[in-house]
Amino acid sequence: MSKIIGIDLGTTNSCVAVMEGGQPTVIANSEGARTTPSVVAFTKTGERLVGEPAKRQAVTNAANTISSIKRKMGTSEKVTAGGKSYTPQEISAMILQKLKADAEAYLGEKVTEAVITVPAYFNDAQRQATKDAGRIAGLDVKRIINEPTAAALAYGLDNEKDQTIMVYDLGGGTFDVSLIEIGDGVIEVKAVNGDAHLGGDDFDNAIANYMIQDFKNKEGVDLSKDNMALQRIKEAAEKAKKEEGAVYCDNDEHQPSVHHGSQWRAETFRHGSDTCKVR
Amino acid sequence: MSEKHVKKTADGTEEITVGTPEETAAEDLKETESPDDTAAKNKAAEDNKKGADSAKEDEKSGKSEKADAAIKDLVERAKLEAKKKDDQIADLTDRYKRTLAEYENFRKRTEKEKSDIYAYAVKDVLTKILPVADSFERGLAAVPDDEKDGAVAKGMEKIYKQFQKTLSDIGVKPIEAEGKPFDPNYHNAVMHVEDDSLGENVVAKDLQKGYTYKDTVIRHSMVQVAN
Repeated sequence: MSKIIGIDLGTTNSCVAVMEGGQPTVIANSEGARTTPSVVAFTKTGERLVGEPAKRQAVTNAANTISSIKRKMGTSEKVTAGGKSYTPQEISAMILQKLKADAEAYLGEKVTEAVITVPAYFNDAQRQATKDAGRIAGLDVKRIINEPTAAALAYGLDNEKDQTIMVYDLGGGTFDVSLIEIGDGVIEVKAVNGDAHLGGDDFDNAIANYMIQDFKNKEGVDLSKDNMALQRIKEAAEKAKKEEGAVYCDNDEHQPSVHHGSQWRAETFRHGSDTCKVR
Repeated sequence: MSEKHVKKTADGTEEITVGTPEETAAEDLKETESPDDTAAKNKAAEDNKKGADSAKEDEKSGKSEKADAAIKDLVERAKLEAKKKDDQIADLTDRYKRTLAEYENFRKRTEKEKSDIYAYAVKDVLTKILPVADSFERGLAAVPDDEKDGAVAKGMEKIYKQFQKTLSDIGVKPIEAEGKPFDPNYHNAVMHVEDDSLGENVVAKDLQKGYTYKDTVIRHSMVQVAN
């Protein structure tokens, strides 16, 4: 009997897991990463890339690289790439296919059934589109579950006392807040809110902007005009965000080669949100 | 015992048409008198009495039919119990087989993971050390011409060479990117540039060296791609 896989089909990143001996295990993809970027691309040579490789060539092939397709699910808006036109379901199916293949490689057996999560605010059309994407990918989608509900289940909250819970889901591209009520083992979503265009990337940008501003103030040079420096700043900003607490971005990260040996240092404090405004 | 019972009832049924159950019972008692089966005889006698009593109360449905039904009922219930147990056994056996198979898969996978762990650990540590190599490169590239032959610059170069050799001995190799056709499996494109002097989809500049460890890429080259 094949195992059922659980899939988080996210806007920016997706994740697949399986139950083993009563415990959920996240399955690493073919590149060894536990999450896969929800990016699909069609190269000039007609090759189809999904996940990390697709993300790595996005800058050079923007016209044929598709990201955040989740935003279009449930609509009849088609996307054109690689000279062909695709529905959002078809693109999502390509991502699901990769996740399915990675799961099969890990389990050593075929996978035919899955459970996929969707945002609590997804309407019928969006849920159906997600189910269709699964079907196109060769998966029998047994259930479509709300993401905050899945989070509550993962913490076993349905086995505890009756309670009301707020679930904050800050993802790569969206910030979803849900109010759920747990009673008699039943989980009900009472309200949803958030910001559909706020995610990890926005934090990276805010930190990068702070660094650029700081350097400008100290050295009088505007790094945003220098593409190479800008790129390194972006990488450093993302790294700084990931590391908690006070982070030092030393001169090692930047510029001796580009700015005549000047040394520069920025401090990003975890609680320094007044200096790093997100919106 | 039941045989006797049945025989008796059979006789009883026959007898009812001829005589009363009481007479039948008495006759049967005479026939089955065996010294070594006293208990059975007594039980039989009791049963007969009971049978006789209920037969007295129940003139229409004979003791025989009731007994028949009782036996059938017992047999049916026994069969049901047996089936329940059989089902349970089948279910447990199935679950056991599944668990065994799952365990086998898990064991195989864990063994593979164990042998891969060394490679994973090395890869993890190397990825953290690579920025040191980056700093060396950038630092050395930033040395002004007039200091290039100075003791510090030369010393740095020697240390960097030692570092590179150590990495290479471990199995780490830098990825040759510049001038090569862009390959998303090895390169991470972060900038795009239009340059007629270069071919299509060629790496124009290697912004940050990528490295491989044995067969896997531990860090992709950060590149600028042309056209």
